[in-house]
Amino acid sequence: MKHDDLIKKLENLKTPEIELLGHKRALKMALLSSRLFKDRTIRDWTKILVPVATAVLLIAAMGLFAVIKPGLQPVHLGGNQISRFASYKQLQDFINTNAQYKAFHWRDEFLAVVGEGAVPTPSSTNDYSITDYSATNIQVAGVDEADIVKTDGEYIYVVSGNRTIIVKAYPPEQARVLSEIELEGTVVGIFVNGDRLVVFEEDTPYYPYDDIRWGPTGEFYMPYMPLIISPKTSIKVYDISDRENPRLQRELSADGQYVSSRMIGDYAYVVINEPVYEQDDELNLPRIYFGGNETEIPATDIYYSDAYDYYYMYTTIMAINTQNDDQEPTYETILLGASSNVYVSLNNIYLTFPVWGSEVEDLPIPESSIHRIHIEGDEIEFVASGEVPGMVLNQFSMDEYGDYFRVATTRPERTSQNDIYILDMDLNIVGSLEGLAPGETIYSARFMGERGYLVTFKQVDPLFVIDLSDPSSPEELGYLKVTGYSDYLHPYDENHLIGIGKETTDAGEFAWYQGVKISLFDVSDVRNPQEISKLEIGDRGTDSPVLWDHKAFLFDKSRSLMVIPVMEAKVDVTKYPEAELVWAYGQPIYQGAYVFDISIDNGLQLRGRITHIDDPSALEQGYYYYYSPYSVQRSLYIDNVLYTISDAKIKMNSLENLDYINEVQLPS
Amino acid sequence: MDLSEEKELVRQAQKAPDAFAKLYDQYYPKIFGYVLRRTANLEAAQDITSETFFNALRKLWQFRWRNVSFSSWLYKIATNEINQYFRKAEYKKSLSLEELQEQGFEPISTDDPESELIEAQEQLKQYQDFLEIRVKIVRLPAKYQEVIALRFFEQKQIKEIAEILGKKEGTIKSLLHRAMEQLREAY
Repeated sequence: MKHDDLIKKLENLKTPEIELLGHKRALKMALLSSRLFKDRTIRDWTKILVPVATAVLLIAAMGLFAVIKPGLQPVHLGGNQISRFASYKQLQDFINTNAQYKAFHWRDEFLAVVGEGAVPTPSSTNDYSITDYSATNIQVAGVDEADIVKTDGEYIYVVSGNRTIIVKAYPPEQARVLSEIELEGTVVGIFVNGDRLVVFEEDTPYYPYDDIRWGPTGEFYMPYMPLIISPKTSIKVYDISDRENPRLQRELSADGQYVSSRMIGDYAYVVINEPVYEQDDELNLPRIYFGGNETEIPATDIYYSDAYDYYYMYTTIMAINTQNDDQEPTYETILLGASSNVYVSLNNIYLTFPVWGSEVEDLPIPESSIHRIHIEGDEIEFVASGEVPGMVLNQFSMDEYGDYFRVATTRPERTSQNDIYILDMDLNIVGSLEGLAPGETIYSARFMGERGYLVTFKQVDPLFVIDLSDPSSPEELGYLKVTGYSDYLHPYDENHLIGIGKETTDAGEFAWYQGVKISLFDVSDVRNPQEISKLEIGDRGTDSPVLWDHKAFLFDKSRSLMVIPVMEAKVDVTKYPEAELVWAYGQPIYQGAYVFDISIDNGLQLRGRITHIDDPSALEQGYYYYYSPYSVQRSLYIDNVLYTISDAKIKMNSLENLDYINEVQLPS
Repeated sequence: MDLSEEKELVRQAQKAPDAFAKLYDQYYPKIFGYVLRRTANLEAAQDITSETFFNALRKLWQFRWRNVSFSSWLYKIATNEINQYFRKAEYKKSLSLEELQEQGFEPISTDDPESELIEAQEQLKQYQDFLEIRVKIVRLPAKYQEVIALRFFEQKQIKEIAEILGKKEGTIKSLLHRAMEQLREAY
């Protein structure tokens, strides 16, 4: 056959066009029900990968580490030791030897998650006063976490974009805006301590017009210098003894991204990350700005441990006395990976970041590198480094109790498993409970003294009760299997837990998540925990910020009160065939604070709800979805007044009957 | 579906099953058809198509719009799976789908998969010319099978084939040329 004839034959060939409709439908359902689909997984990875992504992006922009330089000997310390670099040269050798080209392998994936809200979690405040108002929901008593809303029982301090607004809040009839502080950067969180307001600002550099050069053919280009898109993080301390005229007292800044902060007593602490990059064979060094001076931290002041990683970051911890302006701030820097989770006890900051292991199914198996920094007043000291298998979900997966650090991790291999590790203060593992709930993933954890609680999930939600009384041998005491899962666990009292998450519909080897579910668990019989009450709100698509931010949660046992913001969605059953209802997303129908009665005797009951959206049809039309200025983000109480806060206003309702009292419009 | 709509769907599909479902509806017939024309085996075509879409879903969060369209990306995954099928004596079946069915997850359909398959087998037999030439094509090295199938059975442009196979357009042209030479010798 001739060449042309063959082509003609092939071109005119009648090829099979056959469809297998049964297979098409079965595969579709199988795919859509796959646990690969849990959007949670993506969200959680995003949270961990974003800081990494930022770092890799910056590094990529500079072309750093693109080549592994041969002939250099890695610097090894061994064990869990932490040391300072002997010289700038040693720092440079360490980076060039230990940082791997591998980072680039991951670049594409990282780029995919960049820009999906790399906003660091703002953290918040709590004076342990006993006056009758609520404080930010924090993890460790006495360790305040910065937040976007704070109160001191008379005033409410609200962050909205780049503004911090001071509102006279009590009595509610006199409520009004007193002052606002407008900053150039984004406010990521605030603390209030007596007459001092601490504001954390993250300032992304901009390119002044002067820096734009015009090319010969009319195109413009940026000069080489500001290629590094590294933000600057500032702590600003204001004197608010006159609430109508806040006065900036002190300002302390460092190059890098805000990671987290805490306030213990009068001291505010902040953790900042800055990627290490190289330009013209020179490494950048961290910089601190204070009192009009700019200080470069010399390599010989920088700590490092044996952590091996694909890229490096300078993690700087700064401490500032919020009350005494004469006390110099202090800071220390350690060379680490990208810190993703921060847990702070009264005396220690624990930083963790994932260290990527080998790859399975295109996903690397991470281990978690853990670092302990001792803090006491303005003293900051890097003490120990260690490592545990698996990935740490969030700050609630960590806890310090006595002289031990406890951490719960998930190994996200194809057959995942969950572990609990107990480490001594040198961060050596002294006890472990491995292989919990194979195939499942930790959704929430809470340590309470000698007990630990763990929610893992795949189809149903086992709540595990773990005995931690012997640090060398933690033991599983019992578990409860119910539908749904909890993303957040809050102690009701020592024998009861509140769980907030999603309801699910079991469908074989996976489950569809549905509306928001609230449970009350009785764990007094540790071998046989019970769910004594539960409530479900809305259909699939319903969401609450509490599921990822504990600071949106308000609870007061003595008042039997629990309040959470919820965006409720309903599925229009007429729009979907019955078979698809289970995975159909609802349309938003309501956003606001849901107020519950909660007690052991009467369980959970919805008392009522408060919205800031006046026209509910706007919500149904898809406006005001998640990030509407009218979305209630926080709630608090002062005496018998419930305050709900959105970007647009503060609304006051009676806690007796939820009747409207007053509202204050916030400047925008 | 235009390109921007598809882009948006791919973005959403990483989280929302509804969006993934739309992409699936769009591409299932193409991918299944491609695999069937390569393998001429309905069972294998089901398994490989299942595996292709599961892999796509698994890797979706890594997918980025670059020079490769979503369509080419799917063809690329399918091509890899087909090559594996040809290499191994026994192709590893799509466990995920099988498992689901074992656990009582019945496809929601009034069609009987068994009788549907038997009917499809009969239909396939009617494509005599195609089956004859396919027998000659599968004796060629995989690199030639790929280009012939994509060019003539899937009617892909050289540029698309280059995207799918991750090779240069010039390479595709010479591969096609040599493939045709070899196929001609078989006659």
